[in-house]
Amino acid sequence: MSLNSLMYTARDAMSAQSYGLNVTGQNISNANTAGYVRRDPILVTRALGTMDYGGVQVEGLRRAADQFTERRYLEAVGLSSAASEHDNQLSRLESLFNDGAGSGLGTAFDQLFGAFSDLTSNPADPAARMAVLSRAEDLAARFRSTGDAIATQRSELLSSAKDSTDQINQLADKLAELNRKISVAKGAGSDAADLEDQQAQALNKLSELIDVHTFPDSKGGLVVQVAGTTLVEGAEVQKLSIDVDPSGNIQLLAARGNAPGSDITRHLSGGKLAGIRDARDVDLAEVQNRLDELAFDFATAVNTQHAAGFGKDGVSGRSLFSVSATAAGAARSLSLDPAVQGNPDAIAAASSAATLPGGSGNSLLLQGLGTSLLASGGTRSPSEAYSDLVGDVGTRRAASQSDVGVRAAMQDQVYAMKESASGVSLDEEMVNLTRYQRAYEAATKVISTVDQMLEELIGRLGR
Amino acid sequence: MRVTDNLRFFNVQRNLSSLSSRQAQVAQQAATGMRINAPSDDATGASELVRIDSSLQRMDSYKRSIGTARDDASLAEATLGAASGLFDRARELALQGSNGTLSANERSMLAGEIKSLREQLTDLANTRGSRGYLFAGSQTDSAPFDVSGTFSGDQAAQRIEAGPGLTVQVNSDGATAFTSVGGQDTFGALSNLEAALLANDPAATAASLGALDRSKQQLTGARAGAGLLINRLDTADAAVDTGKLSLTEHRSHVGDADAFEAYSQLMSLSSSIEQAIAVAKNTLNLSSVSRF
Repeated sequence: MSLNSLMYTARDAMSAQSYGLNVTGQNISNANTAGYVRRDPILVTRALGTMDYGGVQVEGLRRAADQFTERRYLEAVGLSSAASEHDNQLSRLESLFNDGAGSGLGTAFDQLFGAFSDLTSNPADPAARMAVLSRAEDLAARFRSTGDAIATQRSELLSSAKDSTDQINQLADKLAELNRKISVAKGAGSDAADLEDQQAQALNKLSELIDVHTFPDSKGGLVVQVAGTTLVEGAEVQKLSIDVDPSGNIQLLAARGNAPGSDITRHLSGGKLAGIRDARDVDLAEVQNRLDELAFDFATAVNTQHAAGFGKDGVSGRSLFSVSATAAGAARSLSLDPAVQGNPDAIAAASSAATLPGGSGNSLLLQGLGTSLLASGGTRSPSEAYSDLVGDVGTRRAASQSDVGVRAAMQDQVYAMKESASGVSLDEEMVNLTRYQRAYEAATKVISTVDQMLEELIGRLGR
Repeated sequence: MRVTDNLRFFNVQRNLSSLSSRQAQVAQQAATGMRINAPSDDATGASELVRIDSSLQRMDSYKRSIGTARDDASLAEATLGAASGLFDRARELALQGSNGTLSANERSMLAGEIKSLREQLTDLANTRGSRGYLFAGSQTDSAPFDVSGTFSGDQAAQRIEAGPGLTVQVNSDGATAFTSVGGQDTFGALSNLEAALLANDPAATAASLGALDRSKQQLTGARAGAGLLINRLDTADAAVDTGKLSLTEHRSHVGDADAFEAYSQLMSLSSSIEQAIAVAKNTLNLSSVSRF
């Protein structure tokens, strides 16, 4: 072993330590970069021939990522984003049924029955008749606006689902491209850590939209599965699209190339799409049905009773409300019947033509509908049925709120694990900075020592 | 566990944001005085509030109906009282007229006064209340008695709901009070007397006394009926008030925030936030960067 080779050893050491400094610098610079995974330099001893030469060599970089934690994180993000989307939508729904402000359907029911009660007291009074008309119109308008608001929200959610699907398709293309680039880079033996960071970030974004599972394929690429189907394998992608099934529910279709898509909706379990599907086709749809049924039962019962009575003009058999033929869409269709619209004398307060104009027998019966069990299959009064609906919406929202809490806590926990494994600790990097700097200084010291020794040797020999 | 800088910031952020969101909720409760500001705060409570509010509104309807009916009943009572008073005077005049010493001229003057009494009775019987002619049954838009005392109304009962499941007939039946339906035609009693006086017939005048007494009795009976109705309505009104009070109490029990508790929670959360900020400051200062 010669002094010269010690020079080489020291030279290797300097280059390895400065590489370490470089990596440390990179870690520090990216301490706040989203999706950045801490790098560790891999330094190994250099063996040359049979002789243990003792030099150091840079073998490359290691991304301090734990595949298991990463996969769990994707799952947690998916569930949490599904829960929060679900909750956002339910919060919108809840605001429609928040009677605290005194502007809801419940108040409108009470006011209509109050108007009937006033009509009973004074059936010949034009003002009392007008009041019944305007309260009835008001109630119909509230049913319509609540029904419309739910329908609008559902159609907005459909376009939102389409947007999310477009984003998923873009991310799928990006992931396929990254798969290709990573395999090229690895094939050429170069560093793919930056590409892998990009891949992890794309996967995180994807998991906010849909449930994501990944596993490596035999060629070292990444297989990405969403909603139980393979989205990306190598450079191949499936296209997702959104459709509506005959009952108006969202359908998620996956297709390869131009092949017809297969329905994968029922496997959807996470991400914004799952939140949209659950809110739109479970909660909103069910609440809409209940609202429609209430509107239908109520309008039908009022119409029957109203038709039995006689208007001030002596005409009988008129409906108060115009409503759809079946419960489907009843809330949105509810309005004043054209026969009574703007015609207060048509309000059937009297129970027989003989008791006109002072008879209020029918008005008393109409008023009684306020407490009669005409809704929910003949088990609840209108305002009770409405209160049940409010309770139902409240229960749904409370459940989604608590779900958000649980999912977010789970995501936080996995995030902490992931960050703990992959994040940059400035303390550590400061220590590393010093460590590599000292080692670098020591290597230069080795060179200057060898230099002195050589100088001594050359000086003595040359004398 | 390896703690990185991001993790430190993340934890601080999460603690502070969860504390502030809790604080915002409690502050809303304390500020509005309401425990339930959205159905999800307490679904059962929110749905109960809707039912209570609806019952309260119904109570208000009952009170309005009772109020109107009570006004009419008082008017009917006073009117029937005045009508029965007319027959006291009619009786005096009949007694005078039955005295054999009176001249035909004097009897005809008495007859004139009886005619005026009969007109007063017609006016009283055609009194208008809040819903039209009081004693007309359902024919509230036209005077039920014409000048000859012929009844053109009907006996339809007007009912209101004066409490949960409590319907009360609120109109006084004009036919029973004034016409032969009640046993004695009150107008007939007066016109018979008038005719007897005009005919200068003391015996017939004396004979009309019985009809006058029966008329008075009939009207007094109807008046007592109106008085009873007022009593019934007052009882119903008191019952509605009691119901309203207990509903209001129940509503407050279900929906109101405990002000003291909300305030003390607010205080304790504020101090928690201050502590969390102090801890955060401490944690975030824990860096070696400046010391190397």
